[in-house]
Amino acid sequence: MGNLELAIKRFLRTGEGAFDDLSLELFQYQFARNLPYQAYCRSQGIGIGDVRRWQDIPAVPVQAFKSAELATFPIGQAAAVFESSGTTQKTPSRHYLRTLVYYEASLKTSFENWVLNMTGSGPKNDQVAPLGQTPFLILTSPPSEVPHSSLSWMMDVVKRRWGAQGSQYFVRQGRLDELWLATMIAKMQASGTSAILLGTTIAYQALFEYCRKAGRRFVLPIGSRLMDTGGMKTHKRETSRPDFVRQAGEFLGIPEDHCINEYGMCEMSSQFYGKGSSTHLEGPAWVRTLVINPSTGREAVEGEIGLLRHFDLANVDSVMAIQTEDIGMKPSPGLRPPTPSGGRGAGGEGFILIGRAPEADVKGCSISAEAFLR
Amino acid sequence: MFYIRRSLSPVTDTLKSLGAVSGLWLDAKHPLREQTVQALQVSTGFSRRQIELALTNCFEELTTPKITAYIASFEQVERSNISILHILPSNAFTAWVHGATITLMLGFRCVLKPSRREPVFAKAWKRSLEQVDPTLAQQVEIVDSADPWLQNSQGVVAYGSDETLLKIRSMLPSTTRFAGFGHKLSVGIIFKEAFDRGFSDDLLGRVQKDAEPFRLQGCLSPQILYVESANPLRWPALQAAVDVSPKLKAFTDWENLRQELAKFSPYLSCVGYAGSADKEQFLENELWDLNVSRVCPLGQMQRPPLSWRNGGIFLPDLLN
Repeated sequence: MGNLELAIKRFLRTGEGAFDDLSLELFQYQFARNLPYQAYCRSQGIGIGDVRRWQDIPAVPVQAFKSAELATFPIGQAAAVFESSGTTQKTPSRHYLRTLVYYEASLKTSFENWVLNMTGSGPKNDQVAPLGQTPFLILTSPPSEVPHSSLSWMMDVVKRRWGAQGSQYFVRQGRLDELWLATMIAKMQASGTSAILLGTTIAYQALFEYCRKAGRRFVLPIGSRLMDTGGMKTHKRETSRPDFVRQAGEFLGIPEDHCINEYGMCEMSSQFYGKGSSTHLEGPAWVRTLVINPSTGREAVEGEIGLLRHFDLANVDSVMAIQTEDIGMKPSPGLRPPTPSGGRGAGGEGFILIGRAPEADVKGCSISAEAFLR
Repeated sequence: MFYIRRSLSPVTDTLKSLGAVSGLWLDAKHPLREQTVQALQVSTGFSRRQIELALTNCFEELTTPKITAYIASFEQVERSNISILHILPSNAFTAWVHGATITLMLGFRCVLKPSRREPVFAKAWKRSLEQVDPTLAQQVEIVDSADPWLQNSQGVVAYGSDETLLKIRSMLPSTTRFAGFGHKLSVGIIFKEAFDRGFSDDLLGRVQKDAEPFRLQGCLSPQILYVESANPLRWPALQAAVDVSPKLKAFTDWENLRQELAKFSPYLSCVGYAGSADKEQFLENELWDLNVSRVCPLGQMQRPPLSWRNGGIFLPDLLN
């Protein structure tokens, strides 16, 4: 593992690495040590020497994390366990991490590129946030309240690393304190201090609703920006991306190109980002995504909608290949971003996120009684 | 009238082999079962206990004596190369095994097209057959795509949504026999005599057996428990015992309940009950016109016998 571990760490920190070779090496490592994964591969007739391309690495369905202990180490030794936030079932997905080194390295590089520098996969520009001087207004619960939330952990890492004094959480006991948040935003506006808002799409929607009802409108100082996450996964109060960024402009004075969308899941150690009203998301160089045709199980052709399958080298101690229930498509060539430079963000051409598969929650042969009882 | 095709080996050998396969899956220490349970945890996301319960429920109904009793009246005819295609469901990973067993008992080739979402169990079942009876295992083929088989199979047995079943049927030649098992809904009814002193541990254990497999997503899973009670109900012990709890609804008037159940027809599948012995006959009489295909005591809902006419379909008749 020594050389593999070093090579992946270097990749996560610098964006420089040989994805194809490292992914195959990591597959062999995980196959040998992650016994449920090995059993799953073997059940498909796939042995350790049978995989020649990263595209052929067996992907575990995302629901596997609900039951199987998908770890290359004894889970009692986990440094952290990230759990999904699903409320309909008692059993959450659990992602066991032997160390947080990979998670943090992946997070920091991508967050810096997309949120702080707002360059995404491109070269740095002049929109870099004044680091250490910009408070983070965080629309999630603090990690002390939800210790197994990967999102809260993410917020904690970036707040400790880059947040100025005054950075704080505005969700307590599961509720957004809109009044307190609005007071802080008003202060920023009055003092001319730019702010970085980070949180879930649902929390922003609650903030926008509060502003609408209270008749409040803010214009945050130039350089302020917003990052939201989870928007496409909620069924309630679903808002289109253009509508969301329009409201960010209307209520907070944050322009569209300063709205960043993040897509992550507790089963992955890396995240994807997009900008503005676009649903085009990009991953870092150590992540690849395939769009899979659910009927054939093969890669969808260009322009065809399918299920997203991610390959994340930062998932060192669990499983790197994950078959999600999220629907997306490859962007057409005209919409692809320019070739990344500086070795950062070369994670393929990304994908267009469309939403969740309609049968993602119910996959059995039952039908919902509610359909009849409404 | 239906027949069993005379196998190259005597039909009793087929019967014994299928019984032995069940024995393998009921042996908690068997390495193939252990590996498969691990792999199923990955493919389905179900807990080990949920998977083991589903395996037990399935294969305890497919023991040699039970298969023998089921086929006692069948006439034997020769095995042929006729193929029956089974298009398998996803998370209810054992739902197809009864149909596959009947197919082999009838002497047909059994072609299995697993779901993309659950590719594990069909292959594992074939492997268990290979271990027990390699010749019989040659009668089973697992395919990646159903398309070529839709035109060349004598019969197609498919699981899926109504939309999927319609689509499959539209692709079949008119002469192909078709059994489509669409999505269904099952409920439990607890009559007052089973509830006079509240929810007992015995009742809890029985409901748990029905609700736990497939995390309440199977067509035999009781999504609603109707309890004969004048007061609203809470059952914290049930919520604590299962991953996803059935909804509890109180009822006092049978006619009102019957009207509510009528709303579920034609999707109603199994009704489990707890109450006096005469309730089974009562429910069968009352619910026969609501397309209920099975009435059984609570605790037995996930254990349909081989003779169960799922959706009213008697598979041996249909396939012959």
